[in-house]
Amino acid sequence: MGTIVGGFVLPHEPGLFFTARDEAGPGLAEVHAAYDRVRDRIGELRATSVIVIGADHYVLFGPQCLPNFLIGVGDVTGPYERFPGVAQDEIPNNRDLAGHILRHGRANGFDWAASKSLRVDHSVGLPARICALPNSTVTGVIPVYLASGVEPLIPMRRAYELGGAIQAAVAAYDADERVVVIGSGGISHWVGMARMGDHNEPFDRMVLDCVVRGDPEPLFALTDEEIVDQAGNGGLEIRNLVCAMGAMPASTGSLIAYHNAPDWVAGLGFAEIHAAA
Amino acid sequence: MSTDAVEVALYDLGVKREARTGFAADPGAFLARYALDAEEAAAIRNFDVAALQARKVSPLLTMGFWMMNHPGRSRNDYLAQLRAGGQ
Repeated sequence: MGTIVGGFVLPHEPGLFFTARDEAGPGLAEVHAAYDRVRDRIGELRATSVIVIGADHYVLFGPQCLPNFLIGVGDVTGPYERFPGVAQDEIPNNRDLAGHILRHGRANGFDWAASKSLRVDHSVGLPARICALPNSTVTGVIPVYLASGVEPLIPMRRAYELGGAIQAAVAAYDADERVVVIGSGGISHWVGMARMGDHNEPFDRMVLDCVVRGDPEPLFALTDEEIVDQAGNGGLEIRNLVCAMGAMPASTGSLIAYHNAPDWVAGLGFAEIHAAA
Repeated sequence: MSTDAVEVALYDLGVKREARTGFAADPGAFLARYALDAEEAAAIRNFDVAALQARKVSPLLTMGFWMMNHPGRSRNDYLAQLRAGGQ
């Protein structure tokens, strides 16, 4: 039987790699430390597979085909973007578990789109490379993409329900598998908009507070227009965090770190979701 | 013709090397492949990202288009163009 042993929300901040780590100032060092904390906790949880829930930034899926939610069930490579010191070759997938999640979902009202050959972008590739795969216990990273960056968007509540479908599928899995779920998304950020570089700390902390309290209701109450107004188009990615929450219902969490500074594209929030006893 | 056609063109220019090469060599001929009206084609040809966003084109695409095709590829210049255009 599979078990979700832990969850995390974190950003996929590309600026992490623009300065060599040994030349990092205090702010960059603290963000590195937050990613390190997630990496180490995944190891302490003895996770064997990590499911990373990300957002396409309109580079993987074009206007001709925009999946509502998609799972990578075959070959996985990436990230698509080049970052100094970050490999772009194969990311080992747990194909058996990924296929099981797809089939279980389709049998229970969740019509997953599937990719048999997926080159992920930084939203999945970054946490896979720096948080999941450095742990020797982790043998597979399963990529999940939500329509959380490009319209038409998956409804917020549906993202949460999809997390529940992931949880149900993992619980119904025959093999012993210790699974960690990562919701990968910046909080407030205006990607490609005139306000790019702005942050909204009160909004960011409100979202993190929902994660820590295990309460998605305030996030369900937000319209997309309100999110874009308060947190930019990038703020729509909080669906990825909500999906991770849905995979661990009734679980509370703890804040790992929060940062915002002009150097960062987004408000950067890191939190752990603890598996209910 | 439509925001959708503009998004197809910008998506191709963001992610496909052969599209970028074709656009750089002959923007008019390249854009003729898409169902764009004259104003849309001009906005792309002139890197008028503010006008494109005013037409509800995704900011993800306008930024990717600029960063992969504009001669300067400067984010600051991109933002300056957006802001000057009232976005």
